[in-house]
Amino acid sequence: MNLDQLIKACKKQNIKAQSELYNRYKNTLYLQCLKYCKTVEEAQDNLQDAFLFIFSNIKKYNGKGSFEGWMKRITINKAIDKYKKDSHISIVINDDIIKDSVVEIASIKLPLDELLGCIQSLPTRYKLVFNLYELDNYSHQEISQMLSISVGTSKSNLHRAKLLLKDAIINKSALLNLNKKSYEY
Amino acid sequence: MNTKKDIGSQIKTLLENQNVSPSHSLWSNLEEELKRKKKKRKLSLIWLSSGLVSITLLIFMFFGNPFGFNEKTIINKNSVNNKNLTKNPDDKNGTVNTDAQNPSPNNNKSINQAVKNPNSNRFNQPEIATSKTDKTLNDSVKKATLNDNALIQATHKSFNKTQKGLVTTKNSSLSRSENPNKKHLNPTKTHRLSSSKKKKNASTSQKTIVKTVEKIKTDTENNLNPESYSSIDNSAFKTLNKQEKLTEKSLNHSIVSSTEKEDKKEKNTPKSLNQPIALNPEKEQEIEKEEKAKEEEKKKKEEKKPSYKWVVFPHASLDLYDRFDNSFSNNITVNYGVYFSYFLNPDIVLRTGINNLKFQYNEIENNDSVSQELRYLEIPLEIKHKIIDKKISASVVYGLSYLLLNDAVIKTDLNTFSNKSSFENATISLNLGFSLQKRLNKRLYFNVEPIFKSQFKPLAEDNANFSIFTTSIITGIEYKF
Repeated sequence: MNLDQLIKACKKQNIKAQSELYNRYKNTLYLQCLKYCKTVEEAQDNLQDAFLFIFSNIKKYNGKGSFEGWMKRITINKAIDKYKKDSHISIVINDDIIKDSVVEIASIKLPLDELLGCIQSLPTRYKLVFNLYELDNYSHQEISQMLSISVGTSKSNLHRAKLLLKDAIINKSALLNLNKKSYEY
Repeated sequence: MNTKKDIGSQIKTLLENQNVSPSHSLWSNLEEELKRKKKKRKLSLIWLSSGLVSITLLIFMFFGNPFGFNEKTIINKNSVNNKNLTKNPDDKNGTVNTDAQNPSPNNNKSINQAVKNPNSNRFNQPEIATSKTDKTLNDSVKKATLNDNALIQATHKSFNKTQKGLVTTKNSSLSRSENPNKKHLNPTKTHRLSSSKKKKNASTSQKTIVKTVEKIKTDTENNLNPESYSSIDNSAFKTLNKQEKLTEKSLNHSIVSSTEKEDKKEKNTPKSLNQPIALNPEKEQEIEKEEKAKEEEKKKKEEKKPSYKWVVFPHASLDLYDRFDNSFSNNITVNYGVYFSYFLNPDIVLRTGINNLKFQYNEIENNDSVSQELRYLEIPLEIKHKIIDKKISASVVYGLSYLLLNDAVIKTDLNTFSNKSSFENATISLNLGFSLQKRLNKRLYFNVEPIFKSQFKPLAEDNANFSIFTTSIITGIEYKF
């Protein structure tokens, strides 16, 4: 069954087609969720919510643009919705100092779960800005609209996110090296 | 040599070709949610249609007859009656004829008949004016009330006589048997009978009927021909038998439905539980998945389960008393009562209670208004089935009510008297409605419940074919514990 047929069947609420669509895209979207959420459980909840939304709103997909992109946007929006709901809890640092967002680091040699852990440990808004800009190719203008912040704040948040991430990665890799050496010893 | 690169681009390349899969139970959860949504869609359609029906019913009930079909027919009937009453066909001058001025032999006959046959009187049977004999009687009374005050008093005197002559509805059989002794019924005894009835209505209907039958027996033994009370016994026991059959039917139905449900439950239990576990590892995995999903469901249900089991719901209600084929006026009353509920499961509640109901309606015929008041003690047995569980939760309410007649009174401009005998001492109503519930805090909930109740044969007379219904809007604060 090709993608068009699959989408048509899903529009008719065919449970088999929905299952197939889920199996095709679950990994891609789950990775997306892991990037945007704090924990694995939260990521799974987000994925479930995203798929529920996709299945109930698939009729709205008109075939223009990539279907995968449409699903990714829904997944990201779900994560952002959660951030907006909990935004009163998170600490928001408003700094409009625009800085160069290039932060260099030696090649990262961390396993995937550790790397994702570093991203997840970032403050929520920094994490969102970093993911949106660096990993999902959104512009600062788009991010500012999505998160209801200024462009300057988005830029400075990205820079701070990178610095924090760099520190986290260095610390994590140092710890791993230490553990390795102690194990060898 | 390590070349330094931007952290963002490095992480992007690292994450691009990664493959991470979520847990296996996620799809089963998703599937359940999708199925629930499908069900909800179906239910919402049913709700929409039932809501529309109930709204139209409510409009009909509260605004009377928006199309005025029945009113017209009543007006026409009245106008015809007026014509018949006021114009004497023998009078060439066209002057208004009163019975006092020109008492025709026919009228005298009809008045005499009214005295002889008290149960056929229009005031005792406000709605049963269908038979031909009743019509002639009604005419005689109507003429009297219309034309001359003196005659009104005369008719009221005769009225009082007839009232005194009333024993029970079963006297209709007496009048049919044409027993001459019926005129000599002791009025004090009959009065005692009616007052004793009021007290006994608090007990079950069967007991009251048996007791009244016994009393009638003793009274009639003193005053009546033994042949005549055999007919009373028959009619009383017929009503007894009917009620017994009704209760037996409802009991049988409940037993059958419960056994059917149990059978269905057994059928619905998954085969995997009854069958031995297959050796195929794929099947084993499937079974494990199913079991896991079930456990999760159970956990969810347990989480949903309220810590409380009982509910008290004191309430006030706005009740509209009406009939299907025609409509009454001034028929809305305010009543009160208490419901006691028990949670069978988080979604199903069994409830009973006690409600003090007062119904009333007015009838205007030939400018003479007659007001009927009825007092019932209602014992409902209902099931409340939750279908929407959100900020405002909605439930379907269905069940039966046992209605015990406390009192029935007719009020005219000049007189007030009991006509309890025109109604059954006890009746059953079929209830259907829905309940909207808003949570105020952990234990207190605000309820609004529009409920439609259709009564089974509330009137004692055999020729009263029309059926009565009530529409109630119950409101109050529910306390859970």
